[in-house]
Amino acid sequence: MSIEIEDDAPVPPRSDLIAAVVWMVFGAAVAVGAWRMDRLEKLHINPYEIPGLVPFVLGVTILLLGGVLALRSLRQGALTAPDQAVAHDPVLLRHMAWVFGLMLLYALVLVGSGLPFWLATFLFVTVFIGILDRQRQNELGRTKAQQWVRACVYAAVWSALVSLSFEHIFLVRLP
Amino acid sequence: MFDGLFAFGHSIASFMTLESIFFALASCLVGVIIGALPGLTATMGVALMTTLTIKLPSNQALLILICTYVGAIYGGSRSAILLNIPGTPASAASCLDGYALARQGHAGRAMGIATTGSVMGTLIGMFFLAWFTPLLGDLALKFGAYEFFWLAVFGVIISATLSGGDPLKGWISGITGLFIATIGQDGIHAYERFSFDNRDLAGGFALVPALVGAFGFAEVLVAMKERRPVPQINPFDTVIPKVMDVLRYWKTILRSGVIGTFIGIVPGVGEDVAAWSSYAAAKRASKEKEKFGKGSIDGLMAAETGDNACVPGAIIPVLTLQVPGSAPAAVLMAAMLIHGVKPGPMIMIESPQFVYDVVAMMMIATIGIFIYGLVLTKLLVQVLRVPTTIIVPMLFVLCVVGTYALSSRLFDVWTMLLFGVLGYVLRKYQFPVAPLVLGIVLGDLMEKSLRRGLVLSDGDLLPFISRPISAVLFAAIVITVVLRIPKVRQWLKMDTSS
Repeated sequence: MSIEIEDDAPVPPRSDLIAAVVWMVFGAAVAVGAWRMDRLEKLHINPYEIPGLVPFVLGVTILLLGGVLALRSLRQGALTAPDQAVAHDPVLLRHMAWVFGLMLLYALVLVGSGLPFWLATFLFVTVFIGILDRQRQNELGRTKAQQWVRACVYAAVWSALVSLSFEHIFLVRLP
Repeated sequence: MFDGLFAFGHSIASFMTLESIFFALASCLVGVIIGALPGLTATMGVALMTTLTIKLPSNQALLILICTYVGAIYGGSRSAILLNIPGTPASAASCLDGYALARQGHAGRAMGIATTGSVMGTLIGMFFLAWFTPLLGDLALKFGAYEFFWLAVFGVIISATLSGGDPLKGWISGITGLFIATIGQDGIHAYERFSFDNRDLAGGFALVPALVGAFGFAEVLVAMKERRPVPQINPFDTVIPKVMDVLRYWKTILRSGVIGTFIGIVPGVGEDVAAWSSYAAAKRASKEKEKFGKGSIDGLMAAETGDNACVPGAIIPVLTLQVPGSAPAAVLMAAMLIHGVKPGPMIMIESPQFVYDVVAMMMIATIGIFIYGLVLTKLLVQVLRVPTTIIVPMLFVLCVVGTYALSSRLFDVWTMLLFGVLGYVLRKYQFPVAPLVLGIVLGDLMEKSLRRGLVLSDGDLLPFISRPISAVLFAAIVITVVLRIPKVRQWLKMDTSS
């Protein structure tokens, strides 16, 4: 499918080891869950049709592949090599926290809370652009008032376009 | 042969309505724009459009999706040439010579070459789509539970191996996808698995919200993380393709078209591998190898022909085997199922006209990208200047409302969010997401085939490897996995760094 790896810098072996442990725990949990699953004996089904068969095989496979990843990261010095974890850029962290926070707030809280969809969308797009496009707008020399007015215009147009097209063209009852 | 031509003519005629032409042109435009915007991929475009077209008649909805798919793969070349940033992963190979040509002041010529290559590639792929689908359909009738089981496993393994990066991580991702497909009621006894008494989860995760999350939400998060500055774009010359380019590079076009189509047919591989393979083949065959990477028209033509030829190629296994050839084709397959079209081995018996409808859709999409290749460049340049901080919230709104529109339940929105976060975290730790998605798509086929096969053989594993097609698929899987083991590669003196 797609060559989609986010960046070319290799993941430090320690991160791989942590990921491997997570996969092993996950694989083991799946296998145990599948093993404990009802085998529907009272229905007299063929033993090869039991619902837990495939999840059990997949859980064990994930556990084994996680084990291989763990072994490989240990061989690459996951425990002995100095921690190569890249220092996190606080500005980027704050930026991504805003992105995540606003998106989750919109999708989990605003949409479906009883607030009209158009209003929820208008608020989300306005605040998103108003906060996260601020740096670029400052570089363009725009005042705060100008920035928020622009954000409101973008949000109003998009909110109206999406709400109207979904309700009247795609015939969807919006949340 | 004439039956096929008549069926194709009938399909073309059925799309000659103002409504269909409007939908085709609009969706090609959406596709080209999505493809041109760095960070947004064809998969995301097709997934989003699936949610928007849910209420349309099936043929019009699928026309929109195919036009978006073809448009997005073509559109990726624009940012590759103008910005040296591939708009989609499929255009990565086009950066090498496309941007080099742009730096030499031939950006317009390069875009013309990209248009020529994309149009010719899609046409070659379309020809094979019309020719091969009935043939492969006949072969697919010989497939039983054993063959379908291995085909599903092969799709996941090969996708994981060729997704770039670490195959081990790809396999973990793919197997996890297969597991996710088992959540909810099982397909044989309707027994609830891993649903934790949750009524929504008992139905399992719907495919399209998962795809919109893994490719839509996760991609907008990555786009926000990269914080790409608004690009400066150099002026360019004429973008009109030249007939001479087709005549001069006909061998490259033909070779890349065939390579692209056949890579498309291989389950789970996709356009980027097609582009790189076509590029490598063109370099090997070229008398001017030294020009590759420095502005070779041959190289750009090969990459663009290869990736676009892969699009119809990737649809061939969807139609005949119900196994997608690429990530966008996986979404397209899901959309077909939602719209009541049942692709698979019986398609040439139950609805042969549909195959020619798809060929006609491909033809219309080719005309669409050709038109936009001629007239759209200036608008595209303006779109490329729109900052991600403005596009991202708008796309996210579409991700939310689109997934909600599928069946008017908030659980689908939560599914989208879950898979978006999962996709983002997996990308961060360099686990490819495409095998995960392919695993979700193929999980049901894999499980039902395995359980049916075991029941038929009464637990005997021999039929899984003794039937001819099963044996070939099994051998291909074993070879694929064994060749990725470092010690084996060292022993065979293969490159261990890749």
